[in-house]
Order: sequence, then structure tokens, then C-alpha cells
Amino acid sequence: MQTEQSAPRKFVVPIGPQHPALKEPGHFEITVDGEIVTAATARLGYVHRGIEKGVESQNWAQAMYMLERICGICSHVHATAYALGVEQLAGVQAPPRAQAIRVLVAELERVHSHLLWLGVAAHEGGFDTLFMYSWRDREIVMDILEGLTGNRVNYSCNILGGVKFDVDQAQADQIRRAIDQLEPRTRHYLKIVTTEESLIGRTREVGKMTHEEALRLGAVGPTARASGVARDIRVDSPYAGYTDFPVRMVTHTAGDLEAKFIVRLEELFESYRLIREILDHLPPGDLAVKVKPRLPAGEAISRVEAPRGELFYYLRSTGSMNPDRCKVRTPSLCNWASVLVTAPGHKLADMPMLIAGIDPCFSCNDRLVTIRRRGNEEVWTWARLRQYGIEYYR
Amino acid sequence: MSLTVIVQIALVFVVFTALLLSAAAAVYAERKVAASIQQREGPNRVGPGGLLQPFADVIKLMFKESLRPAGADRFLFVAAPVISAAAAFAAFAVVPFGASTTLFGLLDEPVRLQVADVNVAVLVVFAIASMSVYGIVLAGWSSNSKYSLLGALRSASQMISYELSYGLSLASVLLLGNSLSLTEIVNAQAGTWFGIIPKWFVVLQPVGFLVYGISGIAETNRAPFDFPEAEQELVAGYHTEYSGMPFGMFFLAEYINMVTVSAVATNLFLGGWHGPLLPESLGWIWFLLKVAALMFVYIWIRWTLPRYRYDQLMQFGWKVLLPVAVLNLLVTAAGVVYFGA
Repeated sequence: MQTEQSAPRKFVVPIGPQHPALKEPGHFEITVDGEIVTAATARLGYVHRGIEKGVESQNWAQAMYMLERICGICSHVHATAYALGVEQLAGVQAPPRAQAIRVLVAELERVHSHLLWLGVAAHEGGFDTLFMYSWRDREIVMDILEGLTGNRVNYSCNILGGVKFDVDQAQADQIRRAIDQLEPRTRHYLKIVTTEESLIGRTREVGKMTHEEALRLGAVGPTARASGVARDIRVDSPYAGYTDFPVRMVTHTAGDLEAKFIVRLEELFESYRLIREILDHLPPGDLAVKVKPRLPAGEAISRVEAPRGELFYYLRSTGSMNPDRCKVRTPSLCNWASVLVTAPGHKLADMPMLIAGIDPCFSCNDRLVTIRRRGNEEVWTWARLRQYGIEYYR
Repeated sequence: MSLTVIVQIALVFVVFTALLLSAAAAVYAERKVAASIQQREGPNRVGPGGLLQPFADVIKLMFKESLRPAGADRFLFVAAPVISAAAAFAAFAVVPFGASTTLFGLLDEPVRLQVADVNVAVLVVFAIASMSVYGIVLAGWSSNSKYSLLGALRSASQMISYELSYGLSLASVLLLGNSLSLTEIVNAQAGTWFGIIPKWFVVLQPVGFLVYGISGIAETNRAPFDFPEAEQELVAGYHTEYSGMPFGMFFLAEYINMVTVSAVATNLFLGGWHGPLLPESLGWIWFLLKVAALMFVYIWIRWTLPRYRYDQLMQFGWKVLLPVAVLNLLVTAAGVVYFGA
């Protein structure tokens, strides 16, 4: 072992793979000088599951359900990106009603994802009460998603060539009521984030990324938009129902953590508006078109805007029953560089919030447990099951 | 052995047990208040309304294996939690919690409701409170862990910075009370002005009370100043490597320190056991109520505010709190000279 007198000793604080600040394994080595961060490195790949390879042994229809499980939060965008790619290969287009329902679910998913992020970001700043509040409100969206699709995560709303369920009047009313409930609360959170002095002390001018840096580092999604990069796939190249229901892009110029809070919260209002509009003007018609089990040979690229940014799918078919290659690029991966580059010069205490600032994709788990007794089975309605879940903790 | 001595010894046990129980009550209150602030249920499984939860926690801690990391300093690693807990208990010894009593005429001479009536009690509390930083620093250093070391360093610099403002806010009360004995300071606050406003020093010293409260939170490492144990950065700070009862002692020390800071604040600023309606022999009820109210504020603050950043705390301590405390002391001194004590 070398012991050179001249080389300054580095104090490296390891964060992860197991650490209270991380909800998913990742490893960061943060070199500090006192409390000041001088360098940061990341090591990823602890949850590599080989899904891209696994997809190659599934048929086209099965592959979607596996791909949906890449992310526990934004599962729908994965299925949508894949379905759009397959439809491109097959040369079909999903009917307008299906496209609108895809967007509806995508926006509901964005709402729950952004509320989840708000809670996690507040928690990283030691503000656990905001975390509890925003996660309580997130339950409202989760209930809707479960009511619509039967699942809290991995909704499996898409099928190749369309969607598999319709939205009836009762469900539409339920969603409208939920949005009416969420909108004032989101406004309240926006007010806290922009006016609460102690929180601003932790977010304003922290993790500042300039417009040029964001472009150079290839940041995507709200992370990039907070630095004034006007890049949103829903606007730049509208897909699915976004051609009929355009969205307004939300950008901010500050580039700091506060801007990331503001951009995500303002996107929520845009999602609420869009959800209402879709419910009011849901196009009539079929829910799906037929897609043959064998797709013609070819390649397809599809891009969708996940809650965290651009999600990119590449599909290749050789004319057989299953995909020949499926390449996924998730938005979180694009944003890591922005954390590592902006970190030096910040305090160690800022690191958890900086890492949380890009909303790295954390998997969430299903909470449903069924206990079945032999010969004593009964069927519970969704409402009763939900009530049971609430009463259980009283 | 005279009856008075027996009563004195009994008092030691009563105070010791009461402190243990108050820590348990504080833990329960903390969890229930936090839950209702965050719209949750809180503990509700052990005992009615979860009342026995703290005891279940203690039993769990006692049966847990107490691990010592490789490379840890054997002696100091064990000694550190003991120092912390001992300092926490010792500080309360000089805190009076009621007027003198003869236990309903049982005793010939009245006994003070206080373990030890030291004539420089304020200094003793202050000195012992500073001792507890040793427990934390030694824990951090002896653990041979980076998180612990960083936590301990933060804690040491935080406590040293805030002790200055803490001491200065005490000094302004000493000027008003004209004594270093807590009992005499409390007795100086008896009675009322114009029959309505109680003669509590908080009325004369609102700034001193605020400075005391804020530095008290920093002294006890409570949120929003809980950097030594900021879980998002340093896992559990100085006690990251502790488990079982050694961890339990740090935990206990934290809550007892809260009780002590609240009790001293009650004596210095809120008139101790003096209050309307109740006779002086039942003054300890007032004392308990006031301490409970201060504890509630402690918990309330923790669950309402995000954590400050370490450098923000240091800046606040040196650039805001200390000048304010000095100014307050000067104004008080001038006032005392001008109006007479």
C-alpha cells in the first residue's frame, strides 16, 4: 500500500446501496472536505433484472406485461411506448377513444408520480409532515387508478392496438370529484414550496443547473424544464391522444431545486386541466383494433413523456412471433449526470435533496395480501377491501 | 436516621423514576402528536390507545443484542452512552419542582421538592448540560464509522456555538432574579402585577425566553436542528453503530434532556410552581402543566418544520442569536441598574 505524504487524504462518505435516504439500491461515493462536497460518483445496476433480454423470449403481446414492470411508478408509460412501437410495426393505429384513454391514464399516473415525488423530496429535506400530506393525497389518485384498472401499480391498461377498458359515466364523475379535491391541495403545496422560508432555505439556489449545462448533460423531463429547456415529447412530437388534447409546456428558468418543485407542481395543474378536458370530450368509438400475432419485419422507435422525462423505446422485428430486440432508455438514466456535475461545491446536507431532485425512479410495492381459508372463501368488493385496509390501522 | 433524611432519599428515587416515566410519556406523546399532525393513527396496538408502546419499546431494546463494530474503542464505546445518560439524570438533580412541603404536617421541618438545593443551581445545570456533549463526541469517535464521526463533529460544534447564547439568555434572568439559586429565582416570580399579569420573567424577558428556547432545541439536538442524526445524510449520526440498550440510553438521554430544558425554562421564565387557583403546596401541578406545555411546543416544532442545513444553523447561531442575546443582556443590565432589581 502506498503512503505518499503529498497526496491529500480524501474523506469519502459512502451512500448506499443500503441507506435510509435511498428507497432503491444505488451507490454514491461523495468526497467531502469538511461539509463541502468536492466530488461525487454514482454506481448503478444493483437492480438489473435482464428485462430487455427476457422480452425476446416472450411473444409480442406478453412482452408488454413484462416491460410494464420496469418501473413501479410509471408503468403505464412503458406499456404505452411499447404499444405505440408495435402498432407502428404492424401498421395499425389505435382508435381515437383508446388514444384518449391512454392519455387519461398517463396523466393520472403523472399526478400520482409527482405527488409521490413531492413527498420524497420533502422527506429528504427532513420535512416529514409534507411527505405524509402529499402521500395521503396521492392515495386519491391511486384509488381512481385501482377503480379504473383493478391495480394500484402495473395497471395493464394497454393492449396491442388499443386499451382494454372503457371509462363509464360513474367513473368519469368519480375522477372529476377527485380532481376537484386535489386541485386546492396542490395549490396549497405550491404556496408552501414558494413561500415557506425554512423550505426555501433548502431549495433556492441549491443544485443550480444552467440552461447550457442542462443541454450539454442531456437532461430530460422536469429536470431539464426547470433549467429552461423547452423539451416535452407531449408537445414536441405529440403521440396517442396528445394530438387531440394538446398540453401547455411548463418551464422555469432558475434551474435550482425550487424550480424543480415549481415545474412539477405546475405540471399537476396542467394534468388536472387535461384530465377534465378528456373526460368532457371523450371521443366515441371502438376501444381496440386487431393486431396479428406475427408482425412484419422492421424497426420502430417510439418516444413518450414519462413523469420523469423522455422515455425511449426501440423495437426490431424479424417477422416472427416475438421481438428480436427491444431497447429501453429510461429518463432517470439521462438525468444522473446532472446530479453528479452540480454536486461539487454544495454541502453534504444538500446531497439527498439533489439526488431526489431528479426524481430517480423508485419501485413501489403492491400492498394487497389475500388470506384464503379452505372452504370458507368469500368475494370482497373493492369498496369493502379498501375499507378493510383503512380500518385495519385504526 | 431522622424522618427528613428518609424523605430526602425517597425524593431521589421519586425524581429518578419520574424522569424515566416522563421520558416514556414524552415518547408516547411525541408519536401521538406527530401522528395527529400528519393525519395518521400513531401507536395503537399495545395497551389501550397504544399507551404501553414505550414500555414495549424498552423491553424490545433490552432483549436486543448490543453490537460493537470491529475497530471500535472498547472502553469508550461502552462509556459514551453512560456519560450521556448520567449527565441527563444529574442535571435534573438541582431543579426544584415545587415549594417546600411538610408532607401534610408529617415532618417537623419543611422539605424542598428538589433533590439537591445547590445555591448555584443555574451554573450546575449549565455545566452538566455541557458534559453531555462528551458522550456524543466519544460515541462518534469510538464507533470507527464515518457517519458517526461526522455526526459527532457536527454535534460538538453545534452545541458549543449554541451554549453561548444559551448562557447569555440565562445571565439576563440571573440579573433579574438577583440569585444563582433556582429556588430563589422562582420565588422572585411570585405574585402579580396589577392583580392580573403574573410576575413571570417571560413578561420582562420575552427575547431571552425565545433565545433560550431556540438554543435549547439546538442543545438537545432536536428537529429542526437535528443534524447530528440527520437520517437522510448520516443515517443515525453519532449513534449509528449503537444497538440494544446502549442505543436506548442515548434515546433516553435525549428525552430527559428535553424534560430538563423545559423544567429549567419553567423555573427561569414561567414562574416555576407559582400559578393562580392552586395553593402553594400543590404548586407542583402547575409545574407539571407548564413543563408539559413546553414539551408539546418542542414536539410541535419538530413536526412542522423542515430541517435546516448545518451551515444555516451555524450562521443563525453566530450572526443572529448571539448578537440578540448579547443585546438583550446589555438592555437588561441597564434596566436593572436604572429601575433597581
